[in-house]
Amino acid sequence: MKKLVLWPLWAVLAAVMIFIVTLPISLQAQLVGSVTILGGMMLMKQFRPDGAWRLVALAFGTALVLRYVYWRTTDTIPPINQIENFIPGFLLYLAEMYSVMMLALSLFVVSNPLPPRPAHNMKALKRLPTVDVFIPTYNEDAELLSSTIAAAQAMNYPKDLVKIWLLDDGGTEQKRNSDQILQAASAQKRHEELQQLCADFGINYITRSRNEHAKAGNMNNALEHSEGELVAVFDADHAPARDFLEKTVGYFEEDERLFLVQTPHFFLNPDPIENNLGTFEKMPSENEMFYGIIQRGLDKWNGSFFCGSAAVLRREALRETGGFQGVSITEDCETAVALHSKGWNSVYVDQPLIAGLQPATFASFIGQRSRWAQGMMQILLLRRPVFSRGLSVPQRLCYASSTLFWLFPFSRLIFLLAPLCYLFFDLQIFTASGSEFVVYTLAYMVANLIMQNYLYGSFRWPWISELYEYMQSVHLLPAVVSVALKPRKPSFKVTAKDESVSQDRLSELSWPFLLIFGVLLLGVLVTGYRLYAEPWKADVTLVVGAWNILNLVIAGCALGVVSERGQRRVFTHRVKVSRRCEFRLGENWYPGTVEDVSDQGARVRVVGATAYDAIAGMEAALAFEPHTEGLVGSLPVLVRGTSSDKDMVTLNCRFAPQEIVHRRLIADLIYANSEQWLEFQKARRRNPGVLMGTLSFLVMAIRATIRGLGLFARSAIDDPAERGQLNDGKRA
Amino acid sequence: MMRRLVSFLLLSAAGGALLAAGPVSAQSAQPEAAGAGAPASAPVTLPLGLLPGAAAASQSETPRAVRHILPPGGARLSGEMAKRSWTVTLPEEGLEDAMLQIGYENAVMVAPESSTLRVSVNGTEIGTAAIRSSSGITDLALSVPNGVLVPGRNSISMQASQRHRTDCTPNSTYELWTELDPRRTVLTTAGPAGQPVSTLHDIAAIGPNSRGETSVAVLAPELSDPAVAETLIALAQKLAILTRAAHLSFEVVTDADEMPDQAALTLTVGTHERLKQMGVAAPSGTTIHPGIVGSSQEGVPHLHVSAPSLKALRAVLDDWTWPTAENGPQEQTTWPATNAPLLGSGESIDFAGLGIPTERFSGRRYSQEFSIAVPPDFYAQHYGEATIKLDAALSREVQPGSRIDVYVNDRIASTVPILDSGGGVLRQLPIRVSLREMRPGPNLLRLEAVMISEADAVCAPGTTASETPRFAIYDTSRIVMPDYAQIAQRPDLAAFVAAGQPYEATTADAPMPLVLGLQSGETIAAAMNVMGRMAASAREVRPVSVVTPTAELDTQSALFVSPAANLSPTVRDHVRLAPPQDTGWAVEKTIRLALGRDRANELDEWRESLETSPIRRQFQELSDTLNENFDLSLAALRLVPGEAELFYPDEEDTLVVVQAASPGGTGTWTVVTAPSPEALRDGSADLAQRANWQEVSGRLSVYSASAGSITNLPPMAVDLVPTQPLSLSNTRLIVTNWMSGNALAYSLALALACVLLGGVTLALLSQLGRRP
Repeated sequence: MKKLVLWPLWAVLAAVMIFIVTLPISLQAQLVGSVTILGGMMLMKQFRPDGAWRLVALAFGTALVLRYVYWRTTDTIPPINQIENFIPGFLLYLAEMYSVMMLALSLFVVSNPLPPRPAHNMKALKRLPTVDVFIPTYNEDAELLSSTIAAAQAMNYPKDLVKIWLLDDGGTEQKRNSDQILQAASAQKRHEELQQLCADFGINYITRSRNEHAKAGNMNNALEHSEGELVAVFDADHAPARDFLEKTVGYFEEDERLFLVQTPHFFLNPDPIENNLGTFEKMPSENEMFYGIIQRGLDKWNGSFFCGSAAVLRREALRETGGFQGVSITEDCETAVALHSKGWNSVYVDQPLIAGLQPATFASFIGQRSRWAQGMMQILLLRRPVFSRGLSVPQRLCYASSTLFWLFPFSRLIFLLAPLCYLFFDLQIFTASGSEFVVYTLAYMVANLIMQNYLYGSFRWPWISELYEYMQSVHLLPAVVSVALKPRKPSFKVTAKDESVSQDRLSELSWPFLLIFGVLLLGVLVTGYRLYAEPWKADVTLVVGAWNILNLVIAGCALGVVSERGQRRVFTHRVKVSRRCEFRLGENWYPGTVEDVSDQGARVRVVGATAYDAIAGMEAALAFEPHTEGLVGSLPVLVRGTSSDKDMVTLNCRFAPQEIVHRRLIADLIYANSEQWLEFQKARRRNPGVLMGTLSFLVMAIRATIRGLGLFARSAIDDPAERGQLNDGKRA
Repeated sequence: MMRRLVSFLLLSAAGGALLAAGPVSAQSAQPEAAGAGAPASAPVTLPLGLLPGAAAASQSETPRAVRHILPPGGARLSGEMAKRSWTVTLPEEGLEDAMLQIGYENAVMVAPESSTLRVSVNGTEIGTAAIRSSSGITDLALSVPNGVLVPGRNSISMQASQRHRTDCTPNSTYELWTELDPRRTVLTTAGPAGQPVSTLHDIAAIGPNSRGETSVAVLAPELSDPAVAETLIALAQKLAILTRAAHLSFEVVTDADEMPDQAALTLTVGTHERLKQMGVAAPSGTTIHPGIVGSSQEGVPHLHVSAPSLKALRAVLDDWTWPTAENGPQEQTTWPATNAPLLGSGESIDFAGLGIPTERFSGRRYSQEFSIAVPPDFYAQHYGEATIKLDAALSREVQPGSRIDVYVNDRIASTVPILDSGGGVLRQLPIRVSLREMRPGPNLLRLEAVMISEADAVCAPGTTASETPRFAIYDTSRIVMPDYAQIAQRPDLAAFVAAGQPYEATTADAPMPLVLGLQSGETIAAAMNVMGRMAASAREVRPVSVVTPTAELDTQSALFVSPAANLSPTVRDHVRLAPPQDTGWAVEKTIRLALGRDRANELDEWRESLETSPIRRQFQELSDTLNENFDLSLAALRLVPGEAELFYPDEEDTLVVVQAASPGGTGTWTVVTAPSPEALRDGSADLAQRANWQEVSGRLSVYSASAGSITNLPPMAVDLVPTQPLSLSNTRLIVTNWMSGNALAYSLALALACVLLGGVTLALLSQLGRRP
């Protein structure tokens, strides 16, 4: 009923807004308007950043953006008879309008995201459904898999209702009978090894004859051989917490038409950008913007989609569409599109319930993103969710937002090259005076920054999106173009997540970034020369030069990203646990507390022992009360270092599992408490604000530039052949 | 004087069209030479023996008729290129053997060998002369071929092309000027002076005197009667339209003995009887006399309007057919009384239509003036931008750093830098011209191309004389007006002077109420001056009815012409004029400082003391910065317009014109006042000069005769009065202009819309999709 009043009212107000915004107002009035509106946004952000005022502030920003769009459209495009200016000018205009459109879609999606859902109590359920747990694998090793399997087994759910399946696509008949004898032998070995592993754990091993339709085909094969009401999917490197099922299955009883409960992907290790810039512990991860805000926003519109892992799906729903979809290489989102269009619902639970690993090298990171970009482009082109009849209008907009996002390489590269058109070739692709630029464009940019900060503030710091987009654009552009040309061509490539970097080195994908940096730097020199030699157009030169310098800052930061930081092993975050334990040193057991754990080891504080009792490299054991019923035993560890104070000794230990039971003990230790992960995320979720965020980005960028240039200089001095070998070795 | 004229004759006989400067010794005698000493009427009779036209042997020995050409103050041709045109109205006969005499003086810096003055009459070039008179006024005499002059309106143009002697910088071109002396720039014709004046066409040909004035002396013994006043005002308007004089002034007396003797035209109005008593020949009895046209013994034309009774007088003019505009019907597309094309919303005109030819230019500062007019309800000063689409070419010589400037009413409105080196062709190059300085009626625009070149930087001797073109402009260039808002503003003196707005709707049935504070000759003359100029601007006679102020006027538009002392206090307070005793207009000078001025001084002192405080200074700096970079004044940020402050005229102020909405809010009151009746008459005559009149704008305008200055005060609050049916697009543009002028209101409207939209969006979002 209320809607009947609100819709017309909204329409009238929107019309009034459009009317005001499209008045061809004078520059002076625009200046006053811009300052007032920006001032209002800043004030509101200081005092009332939530609720209705948040929407008002967003409306303020929208007004300025619309003003800019109106002015940009009516006043700044070069005349069509200057074709050399018009073409690049129009491309820039399109790129800007694309950005504005994406901003509008994000506004729609996340203007009022659902707050995190209240926790579910499994005990309140009338009947617990049967669950099949799928762990699809392709090339992951047994050690990684055993840790995931152990965690899955430790999930708190009646044992008779859960069946765990290892879906091995690396040991298919096709692989085992390959004509290449070496590959066939290794597939055969893997097949046998994993069968044994499953037998040891007491879970089901399943493989198939041919590797058709990649991951989707693999899971569809498993669907045929299983019959649980629900299907939980975990990637081989995504280990679930104990409460994963507890917190997800309940939703299926609430809603009979529910096909998906998706949970966030939480990573214990930094992505290469975080790693190389050293921001992992301080700044929210890149994917937190997606899982922290966007999925919640999508959830409001019943549009949260399947992300391939860490989710529970309803078999009945999957049956309706013939299982997982395999047209694109992102089967997850595609499956969600198919089921949403059949009228099925999805739910997003905003709490990390799995912990995983993500690509550690820049090359594998780019490989992963290429797959996403290509897959989403395929969905855009082949599935056309925007025009899909089964989807509601909000859902179409949600999918438009998710798929069109991946066109960013075009706009990002246009923004990068646009100032160079003027600096190098003297093209006038944006017809505006210096003061117009300040009053309209600067106001628009500031409004945009503040709006982004309103929308994603504590999940995404200023300029980080720009950096990530730039980092990806260089390599994603060809990938996206190739999909646009041949939408059915791309094939699924498994992302390698267990690679590591042993010493500081340049990524094999680094050269374009150095090249771009060099060109932009040349642009700065040209700016200086032009200011000196052509003082009569200093205002335009200054504006364009400033834009180029902004690009240079981002490009400089990128140099730091492609200079990979060496690590002994995959760096993972340590989770605080505080769990009572007994610790064996030699023959004696001492009482102690497990302070924190990573996937590799733990830190234990022991009472009673002295530093002399513990020697690095010494074998020891850790015993604690497992949460998992029926699990007994102690966990062998290696002491790696000690420190002591007064009557406590702190021991850094590395796990040394020998049996399955040890794996399960580790899993019990690490994945016992998903709350800890949330705590960790929350500690990073801090909104520095636009100004401080910009400053800290600047500082980080300068450091990264210096580090990157240093590494480039060193690698140029080093024997190039040796470097080539190193890289080749990595690729192999 | 003899020597001077002898040399004049010799030179013109020997050298054809050209005349060089006379001997230096003769220069001092020159001011009296060409007619300044003659009676201030035209035509003037020159003594036979001194006839300058003797160059033509065939010339008869009758006295030649001399017409002054220039408006008051003469004319100045400045810069490297300048062109001026004037109109002379000539009678039907006696146009043969015409001579154009030009008295001019130029700046020392003008290089004579490369500077020329080209003179043309009605488009026919009649001569070119080198500009070489830097040490005093030189007279040129050019004969006008027979057949070039026509009865009625004739156009005389002078085009100067001037180059600097030594300097090649664009700035140096501002040192170049040639001044034309109004006393010695005349057109003489064979037509005998003092020939019988018989038709109104002959009256149209009365020209200005040597000071550029066309003065009319009026004898109206019964002027205290409103009918006489109304008749006089109607006559003033008709004469103004007929003569198109640049400076038409009236003097009204009640007694024949008081008639001034140096008028260009005399006028008698009244009853037969009364005029007869005055010794004016007039019919008697019951005949209604439509008017006698004749001339006095001195050749001064005379117009006579009389009737048996005052009541019948009104009917006289109605029955009398006056010649309408000459040279065919007035084109609808140009502004009345000018050549300025009227450009409506979204209209455009090419340069050919503006009279700008395709031409090449070899100097460093090309300058071209043209006029365009906009209607009185033009309302786009705050946001509007016209576009000049320029077709031009630059030679290889022209370097970056050169620029094209556009001025509107002498204020810079656009600067486009030329960024490409090595010349090139500019095809429809858009130049956006701010309409900030645009005002209702005709506007003077100037397009300048300032060119920098290597050769100028070196400035070798003779560089300035080079005739290699650097710049070419094509008459295919266009000026395009934007879609602009149209609504009348109140008060708006600019619309008043341009078109007599908002009095345009007056008809004979509903004449415009005119309140004369005093039924004196001076006051009526002032009303005639103002109404005459108004009619000339609008080319339309507006019937008036002389009334006494009543409550009815509160809802009507009315004109008040009155000495300050006779202005009714209610009217004076309403238009926010201080009582005269508190101002510089007080009769007792000692009293005037008591109130207003002192308070104003006190305020100034306060302001000064505040200005020294650091906060104030910073505020001022901010204000200056905004003003400099964005042309934004802090006054534009006012949300609620303040009330107009009382205006305290100064002792030096001769005349004040002030406008306000009538107390009822539906009409407009315009008040013309001065400290004394004489100041009112003379001040209004001065202000009603075409050049001065066009400068009046805002809410209040002050003319100071001693300083020759006009000061305008902008309105505090403006009422908008619709002039056409409301349409969405016009409303949108009206809102745009209003918001552009009230930036803070714009911001607040935007913010309010955002707040409401944000709130409703939240309410709507909480109804849509999933809810927490």
